[in-house]
Amino acid sequence: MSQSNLDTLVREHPEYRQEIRKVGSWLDSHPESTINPKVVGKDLREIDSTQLAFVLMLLVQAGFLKLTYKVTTPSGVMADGEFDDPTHIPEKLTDRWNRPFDTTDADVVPVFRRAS
Amino acid sequence: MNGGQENEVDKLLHELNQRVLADPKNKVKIIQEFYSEQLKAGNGNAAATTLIVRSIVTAREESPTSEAARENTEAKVGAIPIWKKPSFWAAVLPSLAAVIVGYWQFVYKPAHPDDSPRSQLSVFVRNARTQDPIVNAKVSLQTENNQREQTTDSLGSAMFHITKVDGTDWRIYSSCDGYEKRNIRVDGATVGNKVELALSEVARSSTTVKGTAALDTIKGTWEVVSTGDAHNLRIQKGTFDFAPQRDKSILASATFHADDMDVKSSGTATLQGDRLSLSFSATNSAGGSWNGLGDFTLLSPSRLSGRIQSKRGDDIPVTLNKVN
Repeated sequence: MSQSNLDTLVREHPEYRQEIRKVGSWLDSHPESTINPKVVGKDLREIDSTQLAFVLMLLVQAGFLKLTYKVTTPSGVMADGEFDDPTHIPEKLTDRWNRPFDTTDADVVPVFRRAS
Repeated sequence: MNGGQENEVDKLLHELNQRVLADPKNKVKIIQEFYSEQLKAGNGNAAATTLIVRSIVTAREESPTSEAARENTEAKVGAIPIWKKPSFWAAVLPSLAAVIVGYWQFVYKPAHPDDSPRSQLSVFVRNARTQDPIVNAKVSLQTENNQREQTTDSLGSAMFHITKVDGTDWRIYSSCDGYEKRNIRVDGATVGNKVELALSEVARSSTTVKGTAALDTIKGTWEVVSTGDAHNLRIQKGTFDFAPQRDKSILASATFHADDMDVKSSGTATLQGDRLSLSFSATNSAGGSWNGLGDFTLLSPSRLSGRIQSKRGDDIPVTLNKVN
């Protein structure tokens, strides 16, 4: 993430200055294309969970990240499907072995993708 | 976004958790209904933020690192979390091993296995005399295979991600204007995840002037000097004016740009030896006002180094050079 983009965001939201810098620094050291907020949350425990979510949403609104939703399979891993809106999650999905499973009691996990 | 919006998200999270706890077999359906309701109410962003907070809270609860973290997350998800109930663990434990194996085998695929994050190391830098955290200190971690640098935050802490390639033989360097540099060698295998470094203030300069001459030295305009990483500086430009009075008190006024806001301050200062203590009232361009204290050391006849209190009460390091 470029420093000037981050500076602009900090200028617009000085109340989250330190949190934005920490998340930006975390993103720089984690080049993966998919960002799981659970991992960010565990790594940046010093940031309050609500404030961390706000900062991640600021990055979405600024166009640096794209928010999508995934579903956990019965074995606890994330299924392949990815949805822009949680209401678009179908009642049935397939797991990593292409076995269909019922999403009813699965969990919804927001994930972020870096904007291309 | 502000504190009110954060409160709103916390309330939404509580509401969502109550619904999920009441009917845990229909999680997706409940989340979908919740999201739709909020969308219709024009709260799409708050709903999305709530789902993100829920994920973060759950993850932190699954692997708490401290009692404080545990208490914090429990407060967010409700007074009696379901995972504290014996029946929950009785149901979950048999499948936990399978989940972990599945996760590592099928999900966790680091691009460079040896670079995978292993843990975090927090380095806390403190003033050896006052024990106060030192903000904006440079902290450098030199491990067996690389070296990286961070700047301490408002709590005096710098965080490093540790990976397997870092080995266990490390050296931590720290420096900050006005303090003596220090480095320590640590054993990564036994150090844990927190290291504290106390820095001593620099010895008083032999060039420091005393008495009335010192007042004459202070008199005039001093300019803020930017040192260190420009992106982490909280005060980047401005001037301080000191006007000694006959009774040896000093009138002080300043205009500067700090924390992305313009600040004006006025007050009084006293000089004892080479130590300048400042008491001021300040206003910022956001309409805020506060009374604060400052503390500077005269490092040379043309250089002052110290800190001033920000509106939120923490210290902002400041270095000043005399301009006239």
